[in-house]
Amino acid sequence: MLETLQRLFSPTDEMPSHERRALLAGLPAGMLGASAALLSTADATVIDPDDGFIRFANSNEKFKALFRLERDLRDEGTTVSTYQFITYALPQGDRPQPIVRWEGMEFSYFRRVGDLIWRIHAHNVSYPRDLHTGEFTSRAPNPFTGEMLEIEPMKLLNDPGVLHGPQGYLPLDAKSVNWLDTYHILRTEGPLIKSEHIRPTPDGWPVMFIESSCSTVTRKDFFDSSVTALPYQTSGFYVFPFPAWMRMRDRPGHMLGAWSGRRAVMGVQDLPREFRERVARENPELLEPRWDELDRPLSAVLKEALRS
Amino acid sequence: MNRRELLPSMVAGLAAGSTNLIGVAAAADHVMDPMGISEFMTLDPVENFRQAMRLQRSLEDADDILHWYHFIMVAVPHDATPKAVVRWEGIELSRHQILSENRYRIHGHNLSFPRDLKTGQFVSEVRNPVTGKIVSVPPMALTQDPGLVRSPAGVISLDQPSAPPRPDYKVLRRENGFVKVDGIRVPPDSWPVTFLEMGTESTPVKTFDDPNNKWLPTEVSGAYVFPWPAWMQMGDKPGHMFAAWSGCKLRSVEGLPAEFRQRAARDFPELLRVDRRAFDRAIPDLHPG
Repeated sequence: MLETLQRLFSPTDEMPSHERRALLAGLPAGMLGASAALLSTADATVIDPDDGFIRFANSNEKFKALFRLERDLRDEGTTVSTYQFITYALPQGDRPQPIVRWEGMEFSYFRRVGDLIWRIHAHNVSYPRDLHTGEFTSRAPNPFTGEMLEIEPMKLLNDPGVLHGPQGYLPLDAKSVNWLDTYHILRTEGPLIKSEHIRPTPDGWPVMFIESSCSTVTRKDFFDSSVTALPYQTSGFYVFPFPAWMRMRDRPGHMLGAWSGRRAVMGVQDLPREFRERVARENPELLEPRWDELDRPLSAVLKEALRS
Repeated sequence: MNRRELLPSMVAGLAAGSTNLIGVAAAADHVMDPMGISEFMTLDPVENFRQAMRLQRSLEDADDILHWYHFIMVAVPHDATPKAVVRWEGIELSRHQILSENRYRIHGHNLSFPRDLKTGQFVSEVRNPVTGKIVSVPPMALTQDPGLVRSPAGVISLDQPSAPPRPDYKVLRRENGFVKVDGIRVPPDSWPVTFLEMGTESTPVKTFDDPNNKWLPTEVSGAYVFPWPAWMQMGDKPGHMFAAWSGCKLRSVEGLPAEFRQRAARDFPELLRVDRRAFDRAIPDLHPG
């Protein structure tokens, strides 16, 4: 293996670390926007990094590792991810079948509102693509009913937002202070760190829902305390009820989506060109963070959560 | 360069970055103009098959292929919230041998050991989160796969060798610094109805674009749907299991994590190599497709 890979890859793929250091040295501290205390995840607070499963000194450190991986430890920031996913239908008692491919993005924008709590809002846009050709499409056959389905782009614009901190998630429409804990494991795989995260179902969501991801970052970046937002590759899945466009009526079963994607390096300008151009043509406003979402006042319940 | 040196560039340098200035600089430093590339590769069926074979296995006429992975099993009861059950660490070790041009016979097996969801330690029992019962979870040694024949026409399962090949789904695409293959495994009719397997394997563009590389290093992720296993003790309760994995292709068992390799060597030493005797068995009435 070693010889094979030596033949395949030149060392130029590795960014010389001194260049990153030099760049950092030239940045005013304020531009990084994260304090030294926030970035401590990257060093002494991680225990036994070599044993496969990473252990943290406490829940604050574990949370910071997660937030740095999925968002950004700066006081205010944005994260754009791009992905393709295939949705499958799983009617009870029938063989599951793929239905349609999608290409999408998640654009999140967040602000620190407590010691280790960020308020996050986000929107998602996904366009259906033909399973076989990959071309944008608006139709796909339902293999279980024989119907030709009309499939609209998915624009998720009404997420109420969430508080995220070491205790978990608290949706901004929560009626009581009940932080939703998550399953989160970090483990080393040679030069990589993998983050496995299973997210909870908030009250009011469909019962048959779960979302899980495995994101991969380099060990080098993970242990570099100057990196506030870790570059990642990600894959994952989610289970959800039949959407209306599937026209499954009362048939028992559910859908499943499996994705593969990454953090967009430079925000929306790093989105795949064809996708970005379509969003720019149809909904240019969705290529910008919707900061006004964060101006909406918090409920009394949320204010209490931040005080406690 | 070994995997330890290679993979960071696969993850950080070629494909992704952070939204802060550091990440921008890092990405810009690595690649000339990779941004925004997402292209479906238009290949004829034979070339599509060959490139998928090269990514998922190798284009050698005969080769042992090893995948190593972690995966988490989730219970999906009907009309109830899905719940994570147990983590596994495992391998798939298989061998292919060419039968004729672009037609390969493949035999292999899987071996996985259960691990605690939270601590990652090897376990032999877990709590079924649906029933609340503590259930024994044995290691999974899947050694009964009948084997298959794979060609551009599709897949023939060797428990039904005279059946026509089932077309399978393999779409290749370029995504910034990677080439990815999205695959969906179509199970034979003889398998349980509730079964589906899908995955994505990726390799750096640079390795893919060098035709001299018959074996490509890949990162793999995927998922499969399957009926309740007996150890879950779910009785007639409607629903199924789901598992999602993340791993990589390794060149040999020497590259396996020490703890896994040591346990496999102790408990299942014969599964650290491919049983090549399977290739000695004749295939009567093999479909010509």
